[in-house]
Amino acid sequence: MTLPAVLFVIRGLIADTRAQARAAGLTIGMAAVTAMCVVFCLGVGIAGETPQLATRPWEAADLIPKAEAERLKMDPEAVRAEGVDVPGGDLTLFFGMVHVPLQRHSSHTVRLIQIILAGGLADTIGILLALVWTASFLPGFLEPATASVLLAKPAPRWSLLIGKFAGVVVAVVLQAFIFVLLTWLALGIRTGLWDVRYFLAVPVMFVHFVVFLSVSAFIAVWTRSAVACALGTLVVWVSCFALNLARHDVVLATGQNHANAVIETAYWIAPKPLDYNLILTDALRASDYFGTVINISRLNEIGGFLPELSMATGLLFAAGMLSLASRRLSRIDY
Amino acid sequence: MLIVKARKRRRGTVLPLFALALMGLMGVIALAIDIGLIAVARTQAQNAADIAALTGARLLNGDTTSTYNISQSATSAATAATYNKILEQSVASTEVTVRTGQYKYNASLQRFEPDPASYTTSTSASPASGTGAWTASEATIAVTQPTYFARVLGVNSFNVGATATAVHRPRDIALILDFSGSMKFASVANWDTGGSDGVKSLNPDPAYPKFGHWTQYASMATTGTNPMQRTTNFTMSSGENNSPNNYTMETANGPAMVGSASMPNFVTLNGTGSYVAAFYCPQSGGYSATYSPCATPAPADWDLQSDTTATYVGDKAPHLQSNPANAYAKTVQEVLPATPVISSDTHARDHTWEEDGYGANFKGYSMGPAYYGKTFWQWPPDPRSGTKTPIPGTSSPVRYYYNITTTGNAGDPLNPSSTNPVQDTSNRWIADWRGRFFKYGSSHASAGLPVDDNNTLFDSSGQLRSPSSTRYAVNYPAILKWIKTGPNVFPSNLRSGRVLYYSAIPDDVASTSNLDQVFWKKYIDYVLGITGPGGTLADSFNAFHGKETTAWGTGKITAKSSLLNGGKRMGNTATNTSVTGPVGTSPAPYMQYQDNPRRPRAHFWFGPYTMLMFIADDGPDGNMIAGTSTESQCWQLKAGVQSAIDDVKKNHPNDWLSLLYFSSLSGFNTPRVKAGQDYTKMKNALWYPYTLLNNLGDSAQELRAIDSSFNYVLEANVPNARGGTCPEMGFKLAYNEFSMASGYFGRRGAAKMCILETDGVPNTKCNGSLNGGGAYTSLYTDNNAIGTTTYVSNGDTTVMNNALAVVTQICKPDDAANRGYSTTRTPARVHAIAFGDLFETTTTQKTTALQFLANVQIQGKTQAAGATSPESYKIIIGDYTTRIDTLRTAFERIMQSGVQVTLIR
Repeated sequence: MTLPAVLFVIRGLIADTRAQARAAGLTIGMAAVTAMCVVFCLGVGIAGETPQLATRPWEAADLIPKAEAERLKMDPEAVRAEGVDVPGGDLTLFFGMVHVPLQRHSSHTVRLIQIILAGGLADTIGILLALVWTASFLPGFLEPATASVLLAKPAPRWSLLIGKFAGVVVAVVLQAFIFVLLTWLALGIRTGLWDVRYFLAVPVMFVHFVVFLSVSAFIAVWTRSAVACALGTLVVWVSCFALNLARHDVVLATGQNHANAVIETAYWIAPKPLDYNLILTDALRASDYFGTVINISRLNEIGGFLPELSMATGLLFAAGMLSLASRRLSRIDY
Repeated sequence: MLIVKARKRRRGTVLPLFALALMGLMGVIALAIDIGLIAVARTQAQNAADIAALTGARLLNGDTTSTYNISQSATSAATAATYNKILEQSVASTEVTVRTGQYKYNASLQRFEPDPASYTTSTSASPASGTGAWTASEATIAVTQPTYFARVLGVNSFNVGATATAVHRPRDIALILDFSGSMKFASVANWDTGGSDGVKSLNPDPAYPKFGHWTQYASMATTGTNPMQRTTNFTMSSGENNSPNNYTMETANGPAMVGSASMPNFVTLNGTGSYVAAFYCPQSGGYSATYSPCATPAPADWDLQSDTTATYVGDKAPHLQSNPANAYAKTVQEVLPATPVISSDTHARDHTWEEDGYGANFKGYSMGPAYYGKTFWQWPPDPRSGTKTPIPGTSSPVRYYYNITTTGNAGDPLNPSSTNPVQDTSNRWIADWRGRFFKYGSSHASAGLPVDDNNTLFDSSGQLRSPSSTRYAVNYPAILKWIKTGPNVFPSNLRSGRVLYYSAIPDDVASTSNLDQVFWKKYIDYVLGITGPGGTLADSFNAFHGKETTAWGTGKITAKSSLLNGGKRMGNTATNTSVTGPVGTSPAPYMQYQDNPRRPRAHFWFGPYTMLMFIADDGPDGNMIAGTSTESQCWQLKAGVQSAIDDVKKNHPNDWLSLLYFSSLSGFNTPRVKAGQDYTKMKNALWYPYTLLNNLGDSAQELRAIDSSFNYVLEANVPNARGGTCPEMGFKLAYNEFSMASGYFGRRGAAKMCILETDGVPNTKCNGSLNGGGAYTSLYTDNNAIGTTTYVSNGDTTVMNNALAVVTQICKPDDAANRGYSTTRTPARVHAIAFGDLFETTTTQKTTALQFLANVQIQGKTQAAGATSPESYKIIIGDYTTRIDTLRTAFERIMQSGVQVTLIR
């Protein structure tokens, strides 16, 4: 079979999978979550904020809290005249029903929301939910009744698996992109802050989802069970997270940029869900807002965190898992 | 139809749609509430972290003995955090992590940033050696809070974290100090209205000679113009102000410059290698003639040659008819009995006087009160000189004088007798100071022989003539011998603030390679009223309040050639008056008995007082006073600035200081101490010579004040006051110090601040233009230095505008076009401090000076437009303790202006 024909098959399967997602309510479910978050973002606002002073690239954005200035009987305007910001104003939520005083420039607070949406909701809960929600797609596809129809087509079996896999990825990542785009637009419209780092969530979530969907695919071709896929994938995710965390803990404890050979080998072979989250939260400087499980700053200083390599090895892992799954699929006797 | 059908089909769908919408609405509310809680918790956590970090940073200081106060800083920061609540729960100490670190300048990146490697949770650690103080405090709050609606997603709690880093905001500060001559206006020797009454003393010390001709002065309290004393301020025609000086007694402007045991301005190295006060020896039992190794002030009541406190040492001034009950005598005629009247007879000669002079107890010196020392001036001079030889052709009477011009007959002043200080070891008389200390010039017919001609020493008005080859030469070795014989009022060596004035009192002054001899020649010339190697008589200013402008009584000087040999020989009784001796064989008198020259005021006094005036004189030889002296107002400034430097060191650990001086002297046109934190060097620079600042640890390192060419060579090296007022120089130096050009250490991102101190109005402008085409790289240069200066006049508009233009330049934006140092974040600021006597007056100079300083602050963005004077706390007046205190306070307030500790994260 020629490559264009294979691509044609894959494209067809992608379209088919998207239709399946719509039929299964996945699309509307994810859209509902997106819509709910967009509504929430539209309810965010900034009230009465003091403009931030211009800052040269080599300068620190000095500030003192407004309450502190008042405690020291310092006129905020006089403080600003000395080049020191005195942040003022409120973050409003739910269309002004909730007011939260700004301790920093509003961009910090908006980034807090972005971190919650991208790092917490989308990249962690969202990924896990997507894995669960899509867990039935591949096993269903491999059911003999369904598979026999597909296998009757003049296409390699591996291309059918890849096509289905790609269909799920496209369905989920497209929703993720829509989620990020719409919430970014909503926050930007309401606050005037347009932090493009937020979009880093899309590729990170892509890699994250691809890696663990490959695990799900591998389990699917062996078990053809949606439950096994869902639970198995979650177990692998948790295991990999634990391994990832343990490896970084060892690195931080020893102060060296690597752990011992066994841990280090396992770390680099296995998916690294913590790393994906760290990449995103580090870019959004989540450690400024939340207690983090890993001291990312220290890890960076030591040289124990290589985000690009971490992403690349994750994709290699996914490729490997898919290869093994394809190999298995090609030998299944229907 | 279609509509009707549609309505029918939609029946019963409202409720599910409402349910779905309600679920969405509830979801949004749930999300809003949970995120709102997170945001609130996060805000409160940030607030706690902010307070903790700010508390920690504020408590960090520059005190190395307490490791920059890291312990209290870290402990207090953590405690401050626990005073806060997050969602109604107090922050626990276990939820707070405080780290102390350094906020350092990264020269390669040209920015300040926290140094991650420096951070520590220790409460006792020191920063890495050589890296400076702790300057940053980081507080991290990490608490776990429950969720409410997110529980449906399996998220039961969330970790809220907040980190705040507070730092000492860095500043580059230039201290610009005025070292112009007016900074010593409270330590000036004299005052001069330019009138015919000459130069008068500004010394308020009441201990000045009040015997002999000095009795002619009415008391200061009566007339206010006593030339030997002044107790009130003197405002010069320029509008500037001189306070009474603190040379020999403490004034409102400072302790006595002559020193004391507890605060020696001058020191001397004694035989055991210890430095002791040079002009003050505390002792019991009153005055002692034993001076080594230091000099002792004489009793104050010796101003009247009183024996009350201690028996007077030396010759008392002669009285009319030699009767102490009478007034003081002005001439020989008045010393002798009232009759016969000698009138203007140039034959007149009293054989008893000429044989016995002032008698057997004559010492050849008189002591002054306190620090005046001793003088050989006595008028009329004792006539005994040379050998006792009968008048040729007679057996009686004898006389001593007439033959001293015969070689071998004159006494040898270099070999005084140990038993009679006015005889030499061969019993030849040296009682006449004219011949003892002055000899005829090399082109004179009697070259090298003792002077016995009043007309050689004095002109017809009675003023001391200049020495010349045809007149007279000073017999320096004789004066030095006289100084060292009998009461020696000088220490064996003299030092002050690493300036070596002399290591020993020499025997001669002939060698120009021996710098002790050079120094003493100049001093002797100064005391006699002769300045410089040329030997010209000093003008009134340069010779201090040295002389009278008119004679005391009737002035008269008679040439030796007019004295008639064989003239009348007078006796001291009525029976031998008008005795006429044989003409041609009877010698002429030693001088005309009515000769009466002008009297010295402080001239001819060899002692600590004139030595101090000589060293501190601001004449053409410069101000040789050491930087450690209490030269006022300069030392008040130094004391205040020293305190301010200590304050910066202790309380502003991320500030860099540069110490800059200005006057019209070109030696000040380089920074005294370049930008940095070498506070010890800065404090030393206030007191010690610039070229020794790196070698002060070696106590043997001293500098000579005068070189072999008789020139003062420490000008602007020693930190003392001299020259015109040129703040433009100071501001240009400051601009350069803020630069990052090669050789300069400005720090980009550090706020720039100048603090100008001055005591007067600008009167001098300074060359040097702004070169280099970029922000932080431009410099004011003129042949690689700030340019030379030109005196114009006090308050000259161009001079002041030039200075203000540099202030404006400093405060311009820091872009390439403007080349200033201001940014929105780090605006450059210039403060001005008015200091000293001028600001206690009501002169127009004061108004001009205050307006100039206000303009500096207006241009320097520290005062609003329209101001006519700096803030009151920046005007430093009062007595010296008040000035030192208020100056320190002013510096501290300025340093505390703005915001020193801020959050950067």
